[in-house]
Amino acid sequence: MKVIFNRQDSTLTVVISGNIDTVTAPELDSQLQENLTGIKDLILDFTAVDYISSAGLRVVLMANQQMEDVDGNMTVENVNEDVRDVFEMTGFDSLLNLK
Amino acid sequence: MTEEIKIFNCDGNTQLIVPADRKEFPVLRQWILSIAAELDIGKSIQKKLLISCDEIFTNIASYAYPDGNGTVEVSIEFVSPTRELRIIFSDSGTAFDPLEISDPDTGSALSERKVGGLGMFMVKSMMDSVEYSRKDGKNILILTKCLEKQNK
Repeated sequence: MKVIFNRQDSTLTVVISGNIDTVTAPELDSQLQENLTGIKDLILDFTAVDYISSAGLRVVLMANQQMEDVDGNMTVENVNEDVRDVFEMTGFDSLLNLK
Repeated sequence: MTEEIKIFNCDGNTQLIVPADRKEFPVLRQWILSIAAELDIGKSIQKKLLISCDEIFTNIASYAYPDGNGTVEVSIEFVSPTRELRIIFSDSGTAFDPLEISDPDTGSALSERKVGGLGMFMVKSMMDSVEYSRKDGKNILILTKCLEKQNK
């Protein structure tokens, strides 16, 4: 998994590529935590995310909660069909802002 | 008939035995990818297999051994007449049937959501069957995926 951060003022775009699994999800979480201070708009770009397991869903859930806590927004963009299936299966599709 | 069941080898052994530590998951991941290539399994089913194995491996690594020391054993077989791939996990940890975990309420608000149980729910949704048994002091979990159902 690779993560690229692009910050403009209080907007942070996070471009993730690879798998968000039991090994990489904790890495994503710690990198996010280092970059979320002062962020009001968080965009997770999933264009190059291959698949996500529940460890990754936990990280997405926590990030979404953190944005709610500061009255901010989080969107997840460009999910592939398999990732969308996982979001739908788990009910995350109706709760996250997917684009 | 035994000749209709292919048992896959991992580095010359019929079982992969690794420490019950989630950092070891990539070893299992690579094995599954090599079997997927051999059986020409489509990408979508590959991902379902990888996610399901991720969830089971993580459960064992997180909960089976309270003292932190133990192993996960995995064997993989393919039943050619029915085109079923079976992934068999075993561990010598605390007796635990993960099928008894309640399914999460996938309709509840995200902020109220507990992620616990989500992993097993995904496994049950993605596999055709999941069976648990306890034998000789081991937890045994068999995941079965029929490779004909490409769209599932």
